[in-house]
Amino acid sequence: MVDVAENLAPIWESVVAVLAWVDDLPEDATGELAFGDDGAVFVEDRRICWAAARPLVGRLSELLRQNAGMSPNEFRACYARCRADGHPIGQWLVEQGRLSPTLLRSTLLQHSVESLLLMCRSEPQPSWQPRARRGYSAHFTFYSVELLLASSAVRFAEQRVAAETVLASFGEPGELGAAFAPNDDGLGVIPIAALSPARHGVGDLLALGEWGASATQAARELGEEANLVVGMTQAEQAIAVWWHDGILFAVPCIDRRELAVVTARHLSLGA
Amino acid sequence: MTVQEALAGVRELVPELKVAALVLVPDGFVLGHVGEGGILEHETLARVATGLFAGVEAPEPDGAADRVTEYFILLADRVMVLQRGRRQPGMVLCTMTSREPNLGLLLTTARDAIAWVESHVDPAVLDG
Repeated sequence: MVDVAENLAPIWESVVAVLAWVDDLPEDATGELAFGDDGAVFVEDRRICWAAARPLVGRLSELLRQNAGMSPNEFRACYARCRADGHPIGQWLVEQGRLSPTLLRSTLLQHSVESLLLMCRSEPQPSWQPRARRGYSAHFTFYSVELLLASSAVRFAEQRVAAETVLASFGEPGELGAAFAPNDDGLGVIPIAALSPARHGVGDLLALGEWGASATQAARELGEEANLVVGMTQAEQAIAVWWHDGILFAVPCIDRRELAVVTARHLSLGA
Repeated sequence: MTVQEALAGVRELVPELKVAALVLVPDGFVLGHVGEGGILEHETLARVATGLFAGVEAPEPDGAADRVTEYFILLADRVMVLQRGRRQPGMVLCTMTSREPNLGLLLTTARDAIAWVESHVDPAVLDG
C-alpha cells in the first residue's frame, strides 16, 4: 500500500494532471499512458481499465486470489489458462462465480489507485501510445473522476463516508452534489465524494470545489461562518455551498425548485 | 436621482432591511449606503461583494451558459443578498435583512431593487 494516509499534498498535483489528461482524450481513445519504466495506465474509450506500477507486480493477482478464496496453485493455473486465451482473469473469475462483480470492481479500483499514487511520486511525464482495444467490459473500467475520488479516499476515508451520507440525504436534487476536504498543504480543497461521478469531469469537479472554497471564504468577511452560500445565474441555475465538520459541500441545482428543496433539506438537517 | 435617493427606494422594496449598499466591483468602492452601521460595516459588504463577483468565477452548473448574477448568504440571524446589475455588471447591490421573511421573497424583492436602482441611477456614477 502506498503511504499517503498522512499527507496527499506532495503528489496530488500529479494525480490530478494525469487524470485530467485522460479526461481530455477523445471519447474513443484507446491506448497506454506509459510512465517510462515505472508502469502504465491502460485506457479504453477514455475509461481507465487499469493502472499498474512496476513495484506492485503481482499485487493485483494476490488481491484477486485472496478475494476469490483460491489457493496459490489453483490461481496460478487459472491465470495461465486466461493468459493463453487472452481473457482478463478478473472477468473470468466473475463468470465462474468465484468473485462478485462488485468485489472485482473494487479490487481493480484499489489496485489502480495504489499504482497511480506510486507512479505519481516521481513527477511523472507520461507518454501516450495508442493501442488496439482489448475488449474490457465497461462495467469493470473507470471514469477518471472515480480514480480521483478513490485516490483522495486513501487520505480522507472517514470524511468520504460522512460526506456521501450527507449528499445522499438530499436525494435526487442533490445528485450532482460533491464534497471536498482541505488539502494537506492548506492550499485549496480536494474532492472526496461525488454521488454521480459519471456526470463530472475532473476539471469540472475541481472548479466546483475551488469556487465553493472561494465563495465561502468571501462570506467569512461577515465575521461568521455562513450556513449557506448560493450563487445563481439569470436562468436560475444555482450552486449551494456550505461547510460542515470540516467538509465543504457543493450542490449544483438546475432550477429554483431544486434549489428550494436543497436549501430546505440543508436547513432541516443542519448539515 | 442620486445614489442615496435610489437606495432610499430600496428600503421601501426589501422587507426587514437592515442595511443596503451599492458597490462597484472589482474596485470595492462603496457608492452609497443606507441603514444600520457605519463605514466599517459597509466596507465589509463591499469586500464580500468583491470576493464573490471578482473572485473565482463560478463553474457553469450543468451546462449553464450564463454567469452568476446573484448570491445569497444565510447567516445565523441575517440574510445577505447580492444582486449584480443586469445592465451595469460593475454595480452590485448588497442588502442585509433579518431571516424573518422567506428566502423567495427576499430574492424577488432584491431583484426588484436592483432593477429600481439601475433604472434610477445615472450610469455615469460608475465612471467615478
